[in-house]
Amino acid sequence: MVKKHLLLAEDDELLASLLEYRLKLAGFEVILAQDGKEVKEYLSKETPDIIVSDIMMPYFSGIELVDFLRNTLHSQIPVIVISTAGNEENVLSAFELGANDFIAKPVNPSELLVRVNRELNKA
Amino acid sequence: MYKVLSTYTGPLQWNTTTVPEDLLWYMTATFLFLTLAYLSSVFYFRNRINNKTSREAGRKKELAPMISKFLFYTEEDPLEARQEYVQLKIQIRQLLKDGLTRTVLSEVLRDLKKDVSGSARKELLNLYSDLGLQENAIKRLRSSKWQVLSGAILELTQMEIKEAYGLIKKHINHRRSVVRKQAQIATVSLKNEGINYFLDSNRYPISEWQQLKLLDVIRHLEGFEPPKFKNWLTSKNTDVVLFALRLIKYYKQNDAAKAIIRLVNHKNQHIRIEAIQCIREFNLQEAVDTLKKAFSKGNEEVKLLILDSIGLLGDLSDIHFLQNIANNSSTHIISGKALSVINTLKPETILPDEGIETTKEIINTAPQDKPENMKQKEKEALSVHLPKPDLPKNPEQWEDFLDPDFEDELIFSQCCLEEFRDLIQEIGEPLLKSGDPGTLPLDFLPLVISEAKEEIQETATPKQPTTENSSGPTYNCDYPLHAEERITREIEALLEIEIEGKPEQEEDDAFNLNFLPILVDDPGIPEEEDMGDPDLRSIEVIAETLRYKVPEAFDRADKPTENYSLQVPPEESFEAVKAIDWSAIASKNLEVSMEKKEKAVISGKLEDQEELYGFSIFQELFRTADTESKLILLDEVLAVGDEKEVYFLKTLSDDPSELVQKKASKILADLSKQLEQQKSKEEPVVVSGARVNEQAVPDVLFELSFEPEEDCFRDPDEDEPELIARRSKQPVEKKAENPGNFLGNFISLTHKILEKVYG
Repeated sequence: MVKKHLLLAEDDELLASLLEYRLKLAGFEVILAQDGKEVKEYLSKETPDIIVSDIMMPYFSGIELVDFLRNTLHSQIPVIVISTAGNEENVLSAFELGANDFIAKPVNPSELLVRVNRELNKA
Repeated sequence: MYKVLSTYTGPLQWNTTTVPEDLLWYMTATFLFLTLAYLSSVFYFRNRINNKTSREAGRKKELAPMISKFLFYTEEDPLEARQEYVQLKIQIRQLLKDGLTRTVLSEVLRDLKKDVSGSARKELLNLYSDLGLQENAIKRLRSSKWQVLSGAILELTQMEIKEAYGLIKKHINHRRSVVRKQAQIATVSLKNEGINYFLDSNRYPISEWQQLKLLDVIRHLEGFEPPKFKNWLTSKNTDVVLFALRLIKYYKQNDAAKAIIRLVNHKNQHIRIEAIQCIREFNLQEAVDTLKKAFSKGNEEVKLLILDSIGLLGDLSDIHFLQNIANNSSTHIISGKALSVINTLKPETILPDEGIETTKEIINTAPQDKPENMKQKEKEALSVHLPKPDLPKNPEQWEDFLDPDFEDELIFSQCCLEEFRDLIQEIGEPLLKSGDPGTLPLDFLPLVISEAKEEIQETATPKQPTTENSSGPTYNCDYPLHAEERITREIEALLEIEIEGKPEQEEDDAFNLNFLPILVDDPGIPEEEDMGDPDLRSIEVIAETLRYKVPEAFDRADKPTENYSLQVPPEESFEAVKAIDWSAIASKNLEVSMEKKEKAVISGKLEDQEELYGFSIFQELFRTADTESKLILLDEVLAVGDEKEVYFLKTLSDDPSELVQKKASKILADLSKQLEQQKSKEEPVVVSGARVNEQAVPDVLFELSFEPEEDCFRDPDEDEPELIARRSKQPVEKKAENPGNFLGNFISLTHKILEKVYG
């Protein structure tokens, strides 16, 4: 069975490590990116099956990432954004630009996994 | 500059020649050394911090996957995974022997706790406890350094170490506010009973921010059952009392009414405000008197809050208090608030008077209404404008104005008028559409008056000049009516439907004999003479008697009106008319009319003749007929005409058609001859059993051409076949014998006209 490629863009190493471990346990091939530059570099070379991105990242925010994907690369890769609770404006902006789903911090790893699988099934 | 230098005179005045060279070198070497020492120390400490950071980062990277494996381990995992888990546990315990690793692991777990939720979070807390990381924090609780102590309390609070509750709660009265606040939050959050201990033991002020944080902590406690916070209303710490009041309000513990009401008089204004807020929240109406008493002692904020509360909880009895405040308060905000609260308790008691222009009421100068304005007028007319009690401008008079008795009267009158208005709107609206918009909707009243009365009023009785029309009272009140007067008038207008209450009206409505034209219309006889005529008076007496004795009269009635072509008043008047002894009246009227006729013939006036002989039916037909039809009708005049047509034919001399004029004059001559021939024959006429001379009694008042049928007087022994045979011949014979029968002739005339028109 071919593993699904998941790009996880999260600047918090601890949380990224925790989520990476959980997603790998679920059978995903996880690619970690700690800032927007790494995400751009990866997207210029590869095309993941799904992207899980924090909104607040150095160099390149999650909203800019969605905008870059939808309007520059014209890619329809599913994107799930992670944001702190109460940051409604950013979440709405991400949805307007084409984000597929949203999950709030503190993140429940099990919930994230469910949402990832749902988006992949839709695609 | 020179002056300044020259003035500088001291014991050591060095110059370049006098400074020792060794000293300079010595000082230079010293500064260089200090510089190097500083730079080297900075470099050393920087490297040390970097090393520590890098070591911590390295440990974090090393520990993060281990923590992940611990968090997501399940007993359902395969055997290899379980073995790996056991080895990992041993490894991490060895690592924890290092202080740095313990510190790093604690930090990692605390950081992760903020970012994860659900089952992962619970696993984190369990891992922290399992690894015994709390022991390090508990040791630090003994530190004398406030920052260490505060950090330890924070760590234990975040990781929810309930065992530390006893150690932490001792610090809630720490002299360092940071430690104290941290300890207060920890005490409240670690155990549900922590709030009790805190409220009991706290000796320091509790800041607003701290109260909010504590409340937030309490709100998120799982399974928290709030204690009875009224127990702390007696605390000597005012902040505790204030916090308890807020908690009482938040948890809606309304079982401390007396204590809360008592706190309205607390010296602390914050407690007063909070107590008043509680009173409003719990709708404690018994607190109104206390609020009134506490009003004078409060600051502006408290006063406004008390006024608001009175508006919410008070009743009309509090208006006096509010008036006093409005009168005596020097603060505009307070007096304005008091007035607005009066209006809250009793709406529209205080009306705006600032900037209101006085307008004069225009009397009887209303312009002619345009059709588009009529609907609006009708709507306005439907609504009875109730008098609103205006409060006197002078506030000193308000007390009299708001006298309880007077209030009752006002309320009663208001209720009456509201009821009246509803009644008017229910029944008056459809009738108003055709009515005068300027009047009240009482136009339905004339419905109870008979048509006969209206006609009589139009023809015989001249209208009396009055401000009220026949359809009901008009309320074009050009002068201000007192409330009671208006109520009385409006209710009287309604009660006019009941005739019993109005004797004069009853006289008109019940029965009116003014329809008898002989009473008023003979110009030869003065009206007063008519009224004084004993014969006529007798008729009136009969009618007057019958008016009040209709039932008895009805029983004796012979129903004579069935055969009269008399204009009978409808409905209730009709029954009274039935009871009259018509034969006697007819005899008397005929005698009078004969006398009048003789007088009229002598005077020779055409108008008199018309009135005497009656109105010709041909006159009406001639109005709409063309010349050809008129000529045909003239032929019929000769066939069926009588004395009425004589006058009518004379009027045709002015007809625009010459043909009609000529034929009318011819017909007139023929008809006159015919009538003379008829006069020569004197035949008796039966009027309800009384025999009168037909020649002397023309149909002035009644058509008296009826006769009893022969069957009425037939011999009971007569054979039935003979009777049938006679009846079959009777109509034809009767028509031939009695050409003067008006009804029959009129029908035949109508048939002839129809034949002419439709061929």
